[in-house]
Amino acid sequence: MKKAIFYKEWIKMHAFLPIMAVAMLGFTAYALLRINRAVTLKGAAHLWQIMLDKEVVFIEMLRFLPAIAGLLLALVQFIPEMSHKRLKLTLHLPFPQRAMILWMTSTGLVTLAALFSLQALMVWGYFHHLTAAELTSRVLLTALPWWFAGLTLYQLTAWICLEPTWYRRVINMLIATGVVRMFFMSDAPQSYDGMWVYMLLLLAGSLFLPLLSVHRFKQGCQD
Amino acid sequence: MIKTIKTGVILLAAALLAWLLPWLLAFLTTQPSWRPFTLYSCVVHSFAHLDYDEEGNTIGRDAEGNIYTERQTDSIMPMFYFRQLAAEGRFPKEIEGIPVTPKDAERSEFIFRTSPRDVNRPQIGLYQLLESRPRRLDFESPSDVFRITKSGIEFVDMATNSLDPKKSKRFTAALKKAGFRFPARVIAGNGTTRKEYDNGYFLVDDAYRVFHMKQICGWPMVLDTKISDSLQINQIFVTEFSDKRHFAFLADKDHRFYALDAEDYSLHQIPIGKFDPTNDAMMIIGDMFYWTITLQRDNDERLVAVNARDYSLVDTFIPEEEVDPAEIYGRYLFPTTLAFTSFKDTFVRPRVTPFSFPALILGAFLALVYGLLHRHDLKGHLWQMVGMLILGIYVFLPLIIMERRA
Repeated sequence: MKKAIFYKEWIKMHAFLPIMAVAMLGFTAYALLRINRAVTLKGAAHLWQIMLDKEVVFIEMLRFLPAIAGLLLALVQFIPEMSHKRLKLTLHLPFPQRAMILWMTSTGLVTLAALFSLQALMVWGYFHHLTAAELTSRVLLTALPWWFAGLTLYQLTAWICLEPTWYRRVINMLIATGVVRMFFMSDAPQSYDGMWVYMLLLLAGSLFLPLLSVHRFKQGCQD
Repeated sequence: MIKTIKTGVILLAAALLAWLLPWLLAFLTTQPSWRPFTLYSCVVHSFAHLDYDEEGNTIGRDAEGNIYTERQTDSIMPMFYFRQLAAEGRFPKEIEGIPVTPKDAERSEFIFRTSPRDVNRPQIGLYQLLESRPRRLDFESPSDVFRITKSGIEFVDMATNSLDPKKSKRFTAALKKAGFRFPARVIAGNGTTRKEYDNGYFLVDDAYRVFHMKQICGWPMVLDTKISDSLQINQIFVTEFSDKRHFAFLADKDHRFYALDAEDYSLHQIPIGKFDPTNDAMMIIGDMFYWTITLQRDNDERLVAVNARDYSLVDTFIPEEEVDPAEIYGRYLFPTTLAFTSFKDTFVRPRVTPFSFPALILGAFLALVYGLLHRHDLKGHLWQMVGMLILGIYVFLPLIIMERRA
């Protein structure tokens, strides 16, 4: 049954995934190429000096990319479930309902995590080759909240999409906006160094939110 | 499980409101805040404030209440307005019996600033050591950076991202020879090339001894400053002012503040009371006669005048405290507040203020209203009412909004 759930999710995602992967990795490659161009023109020492003197990590243009990816993937996965109330059919499958929803969201989360890991690997590979370990870790630590934002926003969007009434959907949207804002409160590098535990807690907590929407759906809540 | 998730959502909404409502109140009640520019006058020997009269003209005011015109104000602060006075040919020939020229004023003037935000930020751990005696007049950016590890100092060439073993060995040996014990507790210096001269780096070693390290013609110069390790120096601000009188300002574990003499590494305690660079902001406007030191912690400000010649305390001034209206209303409206950023550091992390007991009144009122709305099932809503009593509006709003049409 689990295989069937994965397959169902794959059918929904398969057209969107290559586009998302190309966009994400393409933007990442573009950001790195821009750095490479600056290095070619002015030398690697120039890059080091700017990173040491100014509060930049050179990949700021990738800031909202993971969040957009998380949002779009959740829309692709869960809007089809809600149109014509197809979720009703899904919930009638011979599989525990909560586990089913968790498997569905896990599919998306794992996909996103794999994509973000690939992006992190590209960034790490480039900076590791060019700069000292301190600067490479500065870049990755600065980007970590962006990836957390992507995963959390995925869960929050699933929560909003699966919610059966528009009134609660709007409230959920307001809460989700507030939560996502937390991940983008500072541009300064490494400013989220003391926030990992809270970001993990938010992500872990958001895993269960779609269950609430499904519970309300099953109760028959509607506009 | 669903009940737990519902509670989680209410608590999450409460946390968001605890963050956003106080911010909104502060945003709506913001008032312009202005404090007059204040300096210790070496002519009238009191603090003098630069202010405006009813017609908007610039005036000066001293502690005695005397009022000065703009021109007179220039004259009572000759070491600060020396350019204006010199241009008008009014610069005094002597002050306090000491002959002075505008050149002396220019050479001895300095402004030093530090704020908690400058101190409380993530450190990269890589530093640029300039050549203190550059070939040309201007400094050149170094081609390498250094880090201090548990076993030595390492220089990394930036162009090739590779270790310079020879230079690393040379500097490690020099530091060890001077008695430096790795790793370093404090590494302080100005890596910028935009300065008149270079004082190199001041390092506090693992045993709290303070060392001075410079690079002269590519070779290390390391000196033990002999500053007592019992002081446990934890902050150093390398100054590099035009008068070359001091190497740096330092702070120790007991929040005492010192100036380090460039002639003999002697330490002079500045009588400003406690100064914690991680919590307090400081600005020094100094000249060869007096330093006006402004200390700020949160909303409290304190000005201290110090005699620059013998570092003795001359005068202190505490301006009237300004009360933030958002803070007064907030005490009654909000049981606590949540913020993620602070002007004291660059970190994002949750910061919760202590519980405000006056807000319990509003909490009790809201709990009563909620109880009346659910009077037919009070027992089933007891926990919500308790939550409302403690967290007030933060729990009331999400519950009322989410229970509608539930």
